[in-house]
Amino acid sequence: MKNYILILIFAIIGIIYTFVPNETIISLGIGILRHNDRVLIGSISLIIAAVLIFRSLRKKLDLKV
Amino acid sequence: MDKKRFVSVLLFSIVITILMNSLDMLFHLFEGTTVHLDYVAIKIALIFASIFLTSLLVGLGKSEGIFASILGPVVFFLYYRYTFPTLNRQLFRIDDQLWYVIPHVIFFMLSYWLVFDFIKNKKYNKIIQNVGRGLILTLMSVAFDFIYRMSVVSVQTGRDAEAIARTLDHVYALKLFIPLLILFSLLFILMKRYRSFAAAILAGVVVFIIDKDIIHAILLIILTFISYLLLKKVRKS
Repeated sequence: MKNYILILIFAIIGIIYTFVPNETIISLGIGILRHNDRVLIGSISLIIAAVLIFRSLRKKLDLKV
Repeated sequence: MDKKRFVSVLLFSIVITILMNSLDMLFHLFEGTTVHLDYVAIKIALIFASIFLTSLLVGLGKSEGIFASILGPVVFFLYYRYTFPTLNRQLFRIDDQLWYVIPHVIFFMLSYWLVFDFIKNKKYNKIIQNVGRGLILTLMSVAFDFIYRMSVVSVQTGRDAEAIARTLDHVYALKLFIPLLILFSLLFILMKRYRSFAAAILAGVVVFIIDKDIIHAILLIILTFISYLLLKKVRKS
């Protein structure tokens, strides 16, 4: 359950800071740092979310190459 | 969390990140796309994040390597797509097109394979193993050298993006890469002791012959020595 909550949090941060247009972010009042820095934060959040998803899938399906 | 495992994963991720960026910079110099310090820094951050988090949270292995190798370049492509350009795209061609994800994934996988099979495990016979290690040390020295040269220009020009982007060229890359690869491979094959010192001095001599700059040579001696120690730590951890 804790894993799913973390995935959700990081995925939301990642999607907002990476894909949402700059003007919308500023109008929402969450425009921290510069635009490019926000995209970097978003990208790292997406990486964390993807790794957490891979970890839970790996455990469930026992993926092996 | 186990401190020993954390350090082991950290060092492993650092080496793979340096190798991947070295292969990537060499590829872009020969392919004609710009190698720029800011983009290299972002690439280092994202590649490191993907390999470090995958290794730490999931583990080390083939499937983890494939996953991290795809994740890093894909997120890097997304970063390129959604940021404001910091370099004049009319003058400089950068690797922001979709197809560049493929060479990035290949370089990432190659780096993972090199470190996993040549440093962490001993899968091949002694000569191939030593040539592989020579290649890894060469790529690390080349990466540090490129970053040093771009940093110097960055400081000298007050972070002039266009001057930094013009710092490196494929002729310099070739002059540095080929002699270092031959010398380091021979060194790993022929020498049993004092390899770290010998490799560092050889790197310094090669750079001094090419660049005629003593500070540059001394710095590369230090960085090659550090690279060797890093590889040794990764092997032992």
